[in-house]
Amino acid sequence: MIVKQPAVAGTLESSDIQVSIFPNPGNGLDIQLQSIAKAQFGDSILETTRAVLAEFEITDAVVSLVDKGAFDWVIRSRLQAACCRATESKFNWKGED
Amino acid sequence: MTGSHRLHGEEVTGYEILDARELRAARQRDWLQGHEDCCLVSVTMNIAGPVKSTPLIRDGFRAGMELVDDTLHNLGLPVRRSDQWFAKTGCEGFRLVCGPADEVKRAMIGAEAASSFGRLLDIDVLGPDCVPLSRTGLGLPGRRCLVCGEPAQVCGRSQRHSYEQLRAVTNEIIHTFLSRRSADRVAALACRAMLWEVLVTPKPGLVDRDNRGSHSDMDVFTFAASAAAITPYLRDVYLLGCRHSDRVQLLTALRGAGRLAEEDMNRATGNVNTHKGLIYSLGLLCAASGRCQDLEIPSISTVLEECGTLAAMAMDADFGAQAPSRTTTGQTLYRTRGIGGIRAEAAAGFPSVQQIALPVLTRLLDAGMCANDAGAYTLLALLGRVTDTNMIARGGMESAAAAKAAALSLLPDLNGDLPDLSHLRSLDRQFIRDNLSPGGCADLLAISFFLYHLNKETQTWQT
Repeated sequence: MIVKQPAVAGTLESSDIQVSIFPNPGNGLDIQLQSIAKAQFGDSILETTRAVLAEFEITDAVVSLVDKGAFDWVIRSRLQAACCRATESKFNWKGED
Repeated sequence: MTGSHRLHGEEVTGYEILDARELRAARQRDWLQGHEDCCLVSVTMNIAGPVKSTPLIRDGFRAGMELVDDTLHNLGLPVRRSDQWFAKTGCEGFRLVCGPADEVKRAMIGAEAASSFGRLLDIDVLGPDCVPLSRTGLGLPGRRCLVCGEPAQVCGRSQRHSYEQLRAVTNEIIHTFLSRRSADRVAALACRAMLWEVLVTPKPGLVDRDNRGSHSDMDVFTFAASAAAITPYLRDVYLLGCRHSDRVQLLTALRGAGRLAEEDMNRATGNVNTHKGLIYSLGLLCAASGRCQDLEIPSISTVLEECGTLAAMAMDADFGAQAPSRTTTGQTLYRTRGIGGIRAEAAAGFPSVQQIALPVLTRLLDAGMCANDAGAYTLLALLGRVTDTNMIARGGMESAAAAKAAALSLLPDLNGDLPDLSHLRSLDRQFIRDNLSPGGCADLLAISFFLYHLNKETQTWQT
């Protein structure tokens, strides 16, 4: 899917993550991560991010992540919300268990 | 002892929490819009698990907002707008403050650090750009886990502890904080009551600021030392009242605490009995207040009723067949003449205070009379109507009865005209001449001061 507009999901509260997605036509994925637990969970956060972007078939985007110690399900939810908002698509609930 | 009804609340889903956070962020932007000179203090509670709001949590949150408001008041920064919400997804409070965000954030970190309870508060301070200032951004250490003390973010993310474990620790912290805070406040009121009572001048036959009354071994300083020495005991018995649901167990603990408090008094006064009566009666009242702490509105009448129940149970033990051989004046008078003294007063819920002293004191103080004069007239009202075992012990039945009649003639009608204070000074000379000291009435005056202020304060604590 195409990132049509900048979009934000999540907050900067503790245990949350703020995901911002911007269009990046023809330039692939550029993921920037700030996290208070980067050393422990940085790789896992990036892995989740790439997985969700792949589910949305987003190939071109700048993704900025500001993590305040969010759980994986929170990261996933915030990414999904940001992707829906950026691509102006409805969430596909059938894909969730 | 926290009633289990105070620990229940509705479960919410994770998605409801996420929505609530985004809504909060939107509301934060809305509040800060057009206030370039302001920062926003946004307060939530740090509660793990699916239940975010229970009666205990809401009480904790109210106490937290009081902490925030006190801190802001202390900074002297004007609050332009304030509100709080009690949603099932958690309590929230906003304060829009005119002042620099970093100064406010530092003060809030101090408030959080002031007690273990502060750890349960999430006090975000957002600048005009709507970004919350971080602790580490200010060069301050991050928070630690409630359970193990490891860095909180890492520990939380790894879900090392179960919700049950976190919830138990959280509830214990809130309950302990609220109980101690109430205990400190109630003990401070009891201390004030003891000090105000001794400061009231003139008081016939009693130690006051003019003279030592009918006593040679004590003065106002002895009383002040004694009041300071037994205040921790009054805090402790409040906490005993909170903890013991069983009255028999509570009374056993109270007796032990009371004996030790008498020794605290003896050490502070050089073995002078300044407050033995109040160790008993204020002790019972503080314990009764502790037992009532979980009630929505702990009215004075509920506290007095609970106090009466406890005192009646204690009286059975003191005056019954199992009574100890070492006896007090009160015990002897009860056995020989059927005069119950302070024990009977307490067991009946202090009728002399409820019907005589408190109405007079409340009327005079609420009319703006100074504490000294209102206290003096309240004592006079008691002197004329109460049989004081201390008076009988020192002067005998006849002398005590005559003194009582003399006091009654000065104030025959509780709602009538008040005599000049010079009449109380004459009465003081007369009592000193006859070596009379109405220590029981003095205690009832102190109890009245205590209940008067407890009533005023619990009204403001509720709001």
